[in-house]
Amino acid sequence: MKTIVGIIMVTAFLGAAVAPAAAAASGDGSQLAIYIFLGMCALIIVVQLFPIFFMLYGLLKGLFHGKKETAEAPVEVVVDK
Amino acid sequence: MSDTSRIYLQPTPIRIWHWLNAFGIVTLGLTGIQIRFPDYVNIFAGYKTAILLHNVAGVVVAASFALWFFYYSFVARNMLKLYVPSKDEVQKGLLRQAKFYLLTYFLGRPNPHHPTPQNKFNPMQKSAYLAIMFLLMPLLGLSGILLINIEPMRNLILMIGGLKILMAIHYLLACCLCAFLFTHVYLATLGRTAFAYIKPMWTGWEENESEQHETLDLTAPRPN
Repeated sequence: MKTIVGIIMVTAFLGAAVAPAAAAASGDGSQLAIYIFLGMCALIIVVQLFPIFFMLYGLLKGLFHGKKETAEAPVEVVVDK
Repeated sequence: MSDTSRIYLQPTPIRIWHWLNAFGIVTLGLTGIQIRFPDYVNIFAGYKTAILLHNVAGVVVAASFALWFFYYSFVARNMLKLYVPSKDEVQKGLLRQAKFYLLTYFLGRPNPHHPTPQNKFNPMQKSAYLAIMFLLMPLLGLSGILLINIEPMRNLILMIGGLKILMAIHYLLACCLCAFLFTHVYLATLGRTAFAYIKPMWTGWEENESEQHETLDLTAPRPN
C-alpha cells in the first residue's frame, strides 16, 4: 500500500514538475507531443525507482513488524509472574 | 563447470541518466532530421512541433547530462578512473579489445575485459566515452543552447562565425553522435546473449559467468 502511495506521489510530483514546461510550449498539436515525451521521461524515472520503493517498503514493514514483536514481549513476562 | 555470479554494476542514477539520454537522443535525432530536411521528412505533426520537441528533448538530455556529471563527480567520485584509459590500456588494451571485436568474438572466445563497478568499461569504451562525454556532448549541448537563444546570444554567435557556421557545427556533431549510437547499439548486443549487456543497464545487475575447470588434486586425501 505504501509503495502504491509512494508511486502516486512521485508521479504527481513529476507531473507537477513537467507541466509548466509543457504549458510553456504554445498552442496546436505540439503540446501533446511534448506531453507524451515528458510523460515517457517520467515513466523511465518512476520505473527505475521501483527497486528503491520496494526496498523502502521492506524496510518499513520490517521496522513495524519488529516493533510489534518487542511490544508484545513485556506483556508475556508479566503474565508469567 | 560454470559459476554464475551477479555484480551490481549500474547504480540507479546512472540507469536513469542512460535511459533518459537514450530516449532524448533518439527524439533529438528524429526531430533533428525533420528540422534539417522539412521537405522530405514529416515524422511529427508539423515543423513547429518538431522544433519545440527538439528544444524540450535538448533540455532533458542536458539535465540528464548534469545528473551524470554530478553523480560521478560528487557521489561516486570515480569519474576519471572510469573514463580515462591508463597508459597500459592505451598501449595494449585497445589492440586486445579491437582484436576481440573484429576477430576473436566470431571465434567464440570470451571478452578479455571483465567489468567491475570500479572498472566498468573496456579500453575502447573508455576512449570512445571520453571523447563523447567530455567533448562531443558538451559541444553539442553548447551549440544547441546558442541555437535556442539566438537573440540574447547574438554577439557570441557572430564571434563563432554566424548562424550558418553554428548550425553546420551542430549538425556535424549530431552526425558524429548518431554514428556512435549505431555502433553503441551493435556492440551492446555482443554479450553471451543479445540482451546480456542491455539487461544490466535496465536492472543494474550483471551476471558474470566464469568458467571453472575442476582439477584433480593428487595430494588430497581420498574419500572413503
